[in-house]
Amino acid sequence: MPDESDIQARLQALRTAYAEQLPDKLAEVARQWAGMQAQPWNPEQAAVLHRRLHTLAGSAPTFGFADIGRRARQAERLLKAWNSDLRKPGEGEAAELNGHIQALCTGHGDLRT
Amino acid sequence: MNSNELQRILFVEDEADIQAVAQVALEAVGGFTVRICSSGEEALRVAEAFAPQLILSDVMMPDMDGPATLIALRRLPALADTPAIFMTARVLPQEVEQLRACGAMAVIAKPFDPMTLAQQIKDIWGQSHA
Repeated sequence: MPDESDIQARLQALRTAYAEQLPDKLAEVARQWAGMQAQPWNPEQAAVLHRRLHTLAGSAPTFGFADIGRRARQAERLLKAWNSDLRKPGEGEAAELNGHIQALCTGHGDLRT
Repeated sequence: MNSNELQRILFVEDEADIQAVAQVALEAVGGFTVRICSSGEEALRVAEAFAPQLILSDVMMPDMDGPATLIALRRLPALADTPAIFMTARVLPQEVEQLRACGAMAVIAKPFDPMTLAQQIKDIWGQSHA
């Protein structure tokens, strides 16, 4: 088995790579959500966005981004409920999701450093 | 090696980030031999030749999700009884029960700690092979 310092170095390299990609992943979530709001409700797009958020919820904390994971989890749960009912969210619900996605995608300008 | 000792894990996960960190967690930390598959379809192609002792699978994947993958793998005679564990960010109790009902012996919650994942799997394996 590789020694502890080698393992930690490999994990740190993966965290750095994830941090570099994270702004693009978050921007893609924001882009997709903005696009969905401008069009008639599309359950297939909602399912894709749900999967993106689910992936973020499950992966971001593993790489040290616990807050992003929490926000993604909250947003994912909203989308999941709508997808289960195959319905378009009401205005208040959409505003709630909008708040989560805005919070996800702002204030992370330092991720590339 | 004890014949009951876990060595070969078939890991099904579509996300490259998670594949990479799990590879470190399972191979470097855990000492397992791991075959990573990016989809259920890939798992079906390689499973018999790899002959895993354990199937470790993500749940939410495009096209063929974790439960569908497990059902399909179970149709291969060599994997009909291979133990399986799901890994998922879904952690509501009823969701965990649904996944167990699909034939998984355990469900590991994501996010996972790469330094403890292998021990978690060894513990589950030990409990079911005591």
